[in-house]
Amino acid sequence: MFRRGRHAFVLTLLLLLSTVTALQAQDEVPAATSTTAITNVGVVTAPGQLIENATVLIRDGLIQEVGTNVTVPAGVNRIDGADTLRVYAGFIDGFSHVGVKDAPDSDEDVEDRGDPQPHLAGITPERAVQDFLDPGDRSVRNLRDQGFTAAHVAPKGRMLPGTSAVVLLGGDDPAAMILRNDHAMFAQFESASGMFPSNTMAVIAQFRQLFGEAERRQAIESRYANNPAGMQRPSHDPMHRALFPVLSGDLPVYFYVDDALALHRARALQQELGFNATLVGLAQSFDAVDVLAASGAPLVLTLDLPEKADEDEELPSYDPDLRTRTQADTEAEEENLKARLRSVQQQYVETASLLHSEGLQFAFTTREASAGDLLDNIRRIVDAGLPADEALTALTTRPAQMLGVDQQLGTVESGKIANLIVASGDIFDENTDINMVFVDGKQFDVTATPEEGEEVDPTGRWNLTVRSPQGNVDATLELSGTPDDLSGTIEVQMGPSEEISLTDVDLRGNILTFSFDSGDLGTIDARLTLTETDADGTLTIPQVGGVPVSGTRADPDRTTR
Amino acid sequence: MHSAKQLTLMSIFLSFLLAIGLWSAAPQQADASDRGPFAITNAQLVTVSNGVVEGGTLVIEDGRITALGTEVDIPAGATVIDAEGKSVYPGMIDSGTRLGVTEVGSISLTQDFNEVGTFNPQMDILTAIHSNSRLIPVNRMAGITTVITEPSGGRISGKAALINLHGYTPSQMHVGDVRLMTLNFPSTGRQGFWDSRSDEEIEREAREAIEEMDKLWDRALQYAEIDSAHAANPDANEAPSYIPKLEAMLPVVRHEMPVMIRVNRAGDIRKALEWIDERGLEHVIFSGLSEGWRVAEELAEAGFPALVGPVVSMPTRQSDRYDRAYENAGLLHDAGVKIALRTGEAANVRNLPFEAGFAAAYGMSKDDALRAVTLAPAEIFGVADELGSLEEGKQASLFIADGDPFEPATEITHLFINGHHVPMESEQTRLYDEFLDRSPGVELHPVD
Amino acid sequence: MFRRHHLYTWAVALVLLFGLHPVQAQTERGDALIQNATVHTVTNGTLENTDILVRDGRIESIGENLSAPGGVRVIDASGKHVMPGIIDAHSHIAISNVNEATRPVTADVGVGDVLNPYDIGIYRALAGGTTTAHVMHGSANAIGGRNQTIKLRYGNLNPEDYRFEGAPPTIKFALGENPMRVHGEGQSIRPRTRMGVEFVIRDAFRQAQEYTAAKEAYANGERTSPPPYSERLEVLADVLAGDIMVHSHSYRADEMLMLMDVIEDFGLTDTFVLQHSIEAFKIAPEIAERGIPVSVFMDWWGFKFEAFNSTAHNAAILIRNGITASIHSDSGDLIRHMYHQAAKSQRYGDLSDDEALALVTINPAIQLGIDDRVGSIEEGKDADLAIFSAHPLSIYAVPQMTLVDGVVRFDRAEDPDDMRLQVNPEGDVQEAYIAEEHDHTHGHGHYGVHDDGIDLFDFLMQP
Repeated sequence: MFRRGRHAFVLTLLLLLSTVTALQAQDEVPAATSTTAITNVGVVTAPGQLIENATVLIRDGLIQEVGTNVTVPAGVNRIDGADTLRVYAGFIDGFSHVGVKDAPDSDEDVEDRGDPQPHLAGITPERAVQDFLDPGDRSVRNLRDQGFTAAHVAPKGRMLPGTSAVVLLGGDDPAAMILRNDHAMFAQFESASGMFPSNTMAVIAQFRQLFGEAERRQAIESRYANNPAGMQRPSHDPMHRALFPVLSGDLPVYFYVDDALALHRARALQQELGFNATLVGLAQSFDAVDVLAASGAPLVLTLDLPEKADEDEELPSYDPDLRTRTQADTEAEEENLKARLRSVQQQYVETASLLHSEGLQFAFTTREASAGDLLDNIRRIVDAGLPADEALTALTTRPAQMLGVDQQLGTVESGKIANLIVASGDIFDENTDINMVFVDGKQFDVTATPEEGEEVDPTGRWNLTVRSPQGNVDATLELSGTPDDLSGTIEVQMGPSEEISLTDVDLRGNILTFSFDSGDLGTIDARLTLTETDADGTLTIPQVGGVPVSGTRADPDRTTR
Repeated sequence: MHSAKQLTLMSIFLSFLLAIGLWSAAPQQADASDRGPFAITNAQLVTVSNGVVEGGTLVIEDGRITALGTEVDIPAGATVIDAEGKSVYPGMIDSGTRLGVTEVGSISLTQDFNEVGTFNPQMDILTAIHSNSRLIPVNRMAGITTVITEPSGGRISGKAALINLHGYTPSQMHVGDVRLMTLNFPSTGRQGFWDSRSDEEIEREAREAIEEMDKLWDRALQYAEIDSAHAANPDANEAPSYIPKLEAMLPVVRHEMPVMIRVNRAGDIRKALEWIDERGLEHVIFSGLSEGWRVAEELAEAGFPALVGPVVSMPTRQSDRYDRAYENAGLLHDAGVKIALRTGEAANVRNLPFEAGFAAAYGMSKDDALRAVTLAPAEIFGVADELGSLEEGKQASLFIADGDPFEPATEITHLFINGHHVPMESEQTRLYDEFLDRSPGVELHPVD
Repeated sequence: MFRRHHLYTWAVALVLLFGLHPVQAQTERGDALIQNATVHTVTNGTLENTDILVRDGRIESIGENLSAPGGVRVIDASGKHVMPGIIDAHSHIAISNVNEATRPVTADVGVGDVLNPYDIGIYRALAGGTTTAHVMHGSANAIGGRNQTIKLRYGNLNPEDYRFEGAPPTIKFALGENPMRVHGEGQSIRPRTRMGVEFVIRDAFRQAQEYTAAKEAYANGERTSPPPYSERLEVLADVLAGDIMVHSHSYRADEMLMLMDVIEDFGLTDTFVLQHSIEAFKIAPEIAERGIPVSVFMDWWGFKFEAFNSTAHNAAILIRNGITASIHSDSGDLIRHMYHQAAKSQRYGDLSDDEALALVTINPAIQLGIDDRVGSIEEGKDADLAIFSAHPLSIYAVPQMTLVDGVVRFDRAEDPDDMRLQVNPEGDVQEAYIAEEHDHTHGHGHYGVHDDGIDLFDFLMQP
């Protein structure tokens, strides 16, 4: 029933929307040129190298020319930097899941929770991220808005989700995103739920098991390839086979480690099993700098930082000798503990600077960070002592090298892919805005943070109309919870309709965003501007685009909280 | 006639019943206790209330201490116990246990302390006390003669009771008609790392819980008004309707029955003090107070006594000094809070003297620690005329020890509970006697 | 003792199991001169007014009026008592996971892989004079994971620094209610009974034998390929080779007899230790005859049915029957006052001071195969020492200072209040964990703070 309902909805919507896109395609007037010149700008061609009053000429997705002496052809798109704008190479996210859909839930039952089917336990090294890419995913835009134009992405999952790819954060379809496939195997200490391996120590045991069996199979396969006569044919086994290049060291393992403990464990496992590791995440690695140094592994450091402390609160510096004897001492104790907490928070912010001063090189990962905080966090890291040039290196040339795409990305040089940031000034200055980015030569204007209206309580029922040239489709939106913690369903009035649960429901001021799974059409993102009584906005449908939607409250008498 | 097979089955059945301690023959009390009279002579008498008497005699008749001192006549026919080199102490009181209402920890059907529901003032722990619980003899042998047995769970768990650890019916065990209404004050602390509620949720839950408590109290006050009016003039005023929860709250809102408020976290203790003040509660006893030292001044000022413990437990905060829990009782005492100690135990109430010893090792004087397990709880529960010290006229609940009863190496040699000379044995000592030098050993086993 | 002839095989096993682990940072070793103490050597009586000279982490000499070379820290212990650092033969501190409960045999996992140096419980244990802990897998499985013996070198941030170098590897087995409840009752798979427990263990051993045989057959050219790799059977094969000691959780006499037979059938009696063993006293002659050491609770009982037929005199009965018995904590609370747990053996039995102290020092050291290094105060042994304000068996004794490898790891007078090695950057400075006294189960105790990082399942498990 559930499936059938969703199916009907999707079919009808597809029908309507195909007409929409067809109409749009017929109406569209093609652009006269895709060549763009950014003139009168300061260009940071590479970390530490600034050319003032320069021009960048972008053609066919590539940087055609950069310099002060560039002849701009007639009739090209022009962006005048007015001597204030700065052009940077687009940032490269060293590791994340941007633009990656969840793997579909399996409805298979666990047959033996002590020895479950591998894919249920999160063991899918044979999966490749290319099968899960979604350029329309909101995370792509969010990251782009922070200056990231390329990313190294892996499938989501548990201990061994699959192999990664380097992608451009633009493009109309998954294939167009991919710059380099099969870059690395992704691993982490993420246990399965209610089945083996159900915790970290079992995950570690499972790594040993998988490597041990892969090694055995590889030996058998190579003997069989040499001389199959008299030998039983080895069974086909994509899972273990996917680990062969890891065993040989040809495929690096990007091991995500959340904290110092995970770091030690990954390092121990790497030494024991002998794979080629890149350590990713590394929060709290200030506690294990010696281990990082000894590992010699390439590093990708998290851009997630503890929330900014309240700097107005005056605190003494932490005094380990302060003693708490009786109640009279508890106030001083609290201040002292806060002082310690603040200094620890600062340690997290200073990690990048510490690693740099220890001579360690790293790129950055956005995986655990809130997209909206990225640029702020980069600036906090620079304020905490990481030289700006080093920060830029970690965001551009170093990840390009680590990911093997330094011929194509990382600097503003002629011949490279036109992945660029156009900013209003020095990117590490807190007052600088990113005006636009180019991905693969395509311009994306950065939508300034939307003007947020006064907060509206969206809970309750809304009658929405999805408008298409072929007619309107009605839908009912039901929201509950508190503005901080919203949930809800959407029901599209079409054939045997069904309620679909919303995900990622978020309210900022009067801007409501949410997503829902339409089944075959993929995840639909919604963005609505609300008043007390009205809603107006867009549904973004993968591979289709935006469709207008508007509506009113079903219960207009409802008052605000 | 029984066939052999039937007999075998019967014996299996019987041994099963015995094994799970449900057999009413109560093997642990097989030796009837002796009621005296007794004279304990040549003893050091640690009276707690009146110093220490060296070379003293203490006489027990009809369940009471009838004489003590150095110049005491021994009544005719008294059993004389020569306590040369030994000391007599008042029986210890554990101010918070589950003795008698739990048998096997993991078997819920042997647990009688946690009734269904949030407000259960009508529950009375005394009715569930299993006088023949195997746990009782094991624990009283440490010199513990009397305990508070308390219910738990919900907001109001029911009435706790003070019981002697000897007797064959709950009413024989009950001391001084002491009942305490047990209230678990809403906690805003996380119970552990797995407690994933948001701060807001925790605050909201606690606030709502206090509102619920207020509602109950308001209704109970109203009910009391109806009840009083009816009692004063039955013809003019209707009798209150049958509402068991409110009826059970009558002695509480009339300040006749103490409320035992269980609360631990510093912030919650402050909230509890505010609430007590708002409600105008007069007869409050705190229980737990693991972070009590953080609020010691306010607690002392409020003037309510506290049942503190367990002493030998973990600090509540990761950042706390390691010995915080050991020091807590002493710090509260220093601040002027009247305290007694509780183990919060059932199977190991016998560790009460060690808990007191730890409190003494970490800041309390030994005298104060001894008082916290004898006279102080007797005073807090209003039974100081019966228990808590060696004084003429008091219940003869006391023990003889060959040294400091807080020291593990000390042997408790004699135990009197309410005048009964209770045998110093339990299932555990009997197993020791039987198995120390088992016969047969291995010799009759088939040789491999 | 029984472990001597296995030292070589253990050394080999160590290389096999741990040789590929990261090279351990050089363990810090200290120098100190402890003066004028009452020294409880445990193996050699009590010495009054005695000095202990510690050089490079070891006890160099014990005697009167020893002098310290320049620069060596002098600790005045006048009026104080020194005993060997306490050894806990059964603990779950300092690890992130305890149980992998998803199947009845989990020999492939090991808590040594998830050591957690940040556990404040390590410091709290040091503050009770404990210096070594046998950190064990939980009891959800008939054959559980491997354990790890650690030294409490708190302050080090690298997990590798905690491993007790050269300590024989051990593995956890568990009999009775816990594996029966988790698997039989919880999942309707074997074992649901004590018969099932025996079968699961025998079956696992037999599978390991088959596995080893298949590997040998391949090596001899009798098979064209090796058997499918099994981490679990690899470990069990090491157990069968005597390279990994078996430490089995047990409660009832019958199940102990059962496992003793299984162990004997597979020739493992010399590498076998019973743990918990509430009813060991009932079969003390049988245990003694086979020379099996036993580690027991001091006074925990009654928390489940198989712990009901119990006596706190268990340890005393075992000692009097000539068994190498120890007292363990199995608790983050009790590990802080093992000296006091040992003292209770003088109430529940009549052990001498040395016999009582041996319960938490030399006896557990023997059980863990580390008695050549720790467990008594002897020249040449590791300088793992605990200094007390009074006789450590007195209730009034307060631990003053604890040394591990001659390094002061706990100092009551000098240590800061807040001894955490990490602070949650998004935590609250007022965060208190106060577990309510549970409404059901856990009759054994105070429901104190549980260590971070241990999952809910572990919290709900019975001891």
